[in-house]
Amino acid sequence: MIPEKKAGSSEYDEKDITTVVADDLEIRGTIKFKTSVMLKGIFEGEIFSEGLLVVGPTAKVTATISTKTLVSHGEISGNVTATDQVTLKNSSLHNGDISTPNIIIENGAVFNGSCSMRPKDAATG
Amino acid sequence: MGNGIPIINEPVEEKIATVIADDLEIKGTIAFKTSVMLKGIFEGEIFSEGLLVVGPTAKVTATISTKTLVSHGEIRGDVIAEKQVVLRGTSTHTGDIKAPYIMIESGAAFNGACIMERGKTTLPVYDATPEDQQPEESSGAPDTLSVDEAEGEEPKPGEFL
Repeated sequence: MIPEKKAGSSEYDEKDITTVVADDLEIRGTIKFKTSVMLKGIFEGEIFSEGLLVVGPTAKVTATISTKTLVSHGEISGNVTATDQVTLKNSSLHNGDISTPNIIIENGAVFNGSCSMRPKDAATG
Repeated sequence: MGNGIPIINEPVEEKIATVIADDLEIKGTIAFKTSVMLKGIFEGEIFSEGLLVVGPTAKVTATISTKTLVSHGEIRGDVIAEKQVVLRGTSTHTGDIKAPYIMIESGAAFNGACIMERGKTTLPVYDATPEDQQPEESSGAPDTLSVDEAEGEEPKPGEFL
């Protein structure tokens, strides 16, 4: 099950996330998941998700990411395609292109790349 | 926050120096130092040393250079901001953005590239505007012109002797 946001905030509770990859773990390769994953360590490769990907503040992710929802507090290098939403929190650093219908970039986040969003009216497809 | 992230200080409409109402259409160039709120249609270029607020009814097709941009409306064109760009939830932005700090609210649409450089300092260092100080190297031009014009009608020494 994809976790719900905490009441009255846009944060997800770490306890609700199915898999939490701790900050001492380094992964190279491809990961696929349907519900939710929080990365806190180093990841290199490809991520295919049908759910929620949370990149923790200590994480360094170099990957091509396709997901439903991405919330980043950490460092991402690579292109992201999200079918629902991308949120770059104020501590995050993103180098790469983003394609999503809905984006939130908090004050303080760093984003270098291009952003493509379908027009709101045509976002039904 | 205290870590250099600029606090978004969007003044109420009454505090903005110039408010251009939604029935006004402007084509051309505007330059200002304090604050302007656009609510109508604008096409052209905007040079600002202060705050530009694009209202929710505004349609701006422009190359914008400003210190701070807060958009609630529709912008087409490239933006360079010395300090910060804020795209509010109602805004639509088509074009590239270059600024040290950017905030995009949920609901905003942004299509374009985003370049953020925080090389030197987080606070904008005021450097003299290059437009006023473009040294025009005009010394060479008259010389070549006079040579061309003088050709064939050079006073021959000794003619009047």
